[in-house]
Order: sequence, then structure tokens, then C-alpha cells
Amino acid sequence: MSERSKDVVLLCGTMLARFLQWVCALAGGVVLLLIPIVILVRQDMVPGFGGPNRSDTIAASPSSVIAISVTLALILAALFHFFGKLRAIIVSVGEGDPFTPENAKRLNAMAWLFLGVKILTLLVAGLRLHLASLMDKGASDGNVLGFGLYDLDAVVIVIVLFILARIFRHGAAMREDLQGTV
Amino acid sequence: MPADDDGGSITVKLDDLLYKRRMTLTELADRVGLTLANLSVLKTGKARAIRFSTLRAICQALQCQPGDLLVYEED
Repeated sequence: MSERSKDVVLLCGTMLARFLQWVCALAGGVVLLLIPIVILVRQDMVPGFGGPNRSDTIAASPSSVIAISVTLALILAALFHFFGKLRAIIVSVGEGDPFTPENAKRLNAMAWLFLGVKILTLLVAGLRLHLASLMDKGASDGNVLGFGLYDLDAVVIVIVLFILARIFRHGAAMREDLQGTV
Repeated sequence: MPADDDGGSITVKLDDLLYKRRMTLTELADRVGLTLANLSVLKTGKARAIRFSTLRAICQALQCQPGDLLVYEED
């Protein structure tokens, strides 16, 4: 057990997951703070930012900016939970008991969360294109929502997570059988 | 042993065999080299599976056949 708890990879993984959770929480807070600021700027209630000095982006489509902020906050919340579940799995590995039904559920949830993040990212990209087209029609005419290798990677990750969840569920069932074997 | 989905179940007759042989569970545990806890799991019907090596050791110690130890019963 002590050897397992001294595993450098597990320790780094736990620390990284915890750090990324903090980053997501901090970024989420900043993004949520943007929403009232956008509303105030839109209503010319912030000195120096309203009237003729108002930001071009907010002026172009305040509802789009708010929608982007809300979507970004949702993405960050999903990522926060994703890294939380990853950390819980790493901790269970450190404790020497990873093949549990709970970890199978965690992996399944991670797959759904990652899928949600990818869909929301596409939504943000669409909103950004919409904003760009409103601000500079000529420059954004050539932009299209592409489906590149990056998106294919995301699909592979989601599939791998779903498969891993099934492997863990099967492993947990086998372990349960073994524990009941005399 | 837990009941199957179709209703039937395997019953472990370890208690009856021990009574017939005038042997305690602790003595049997010593003879077959299993822990008392594991034998208790088998005796109380909580075991999900039994190894051939365990079955052989118990049959050897109790001078019986596997069929004397495990009985299939319809619900």
C-alpha cells in the first residue's frame, strides 16, 4: 500500500487534476462575472465603457456575448466535474481498489461530460462566427465550422472512455465473483 | 449459494456433514487449510463460487462425494 501511495505518476495525476479543477473554478468565476458586466456596459452603466466608448463586440450583439459567456461557464463546470471524477479514480487506484462499480460510473459520466464539452465548444464556435460576421462581414465570409482531426480526437476519447467504463464494470463484477469464491 | 435467475438454487450441506462426522468447523478449517471465515461463507450459503481444490480438500477431510456437499434444490 505504501508503495502505491508513493507512485509518482499517481501523485502527479492527482495534483494536476486538482490544479485543473482550480483553474476551471477560477475561469468559471471570471466568465460568470462577465455576464453582469456585459449587461451593465450594454445599458451604459459603466463609466468609460458606455456611449461612444462601448466595446464593439458587446455593441454588435450583447445577447451573443452573454450566450458565449453562459456556454463557457457550462463548459468549465463540466470540465470541473470531469477532473473531479478523474481525481477520484486516481485516488482509488492509489488505495489499491480501482475496479469498483463507482469507478465505472465515474468513467461513464466522464465520457458524457466530455461529449457535452465538445458539443458546447461547437456552440461557442458558432456564436463566435456569428459575432465575427456581425462585426466584420467581409472578413468572416470565408469562415466555416470545420470538422478537423482535433474533433476526431475528441470522438475517439469519448468512445475510449465509454469502453473503459464497460471494462471497469466488467472488472468490478469479476472482482465481486472472486471475493465470493472459497 | 445464491439462487439462480430461473429459481433453483445450490444448497451447501456442510452443517449436516460436519454433524455426521462429529467435527467442528474449526477442525475442518485446520484440515483443509482454509480460513474459518472462508468456510463460514461456504457454510452459510454466501459463497458465489467454490474452487475444485477447495471441494477436493473438503471431500477428502469429510470422506464424502461432492454431491453430498452440494445439492440442487428447486424453489
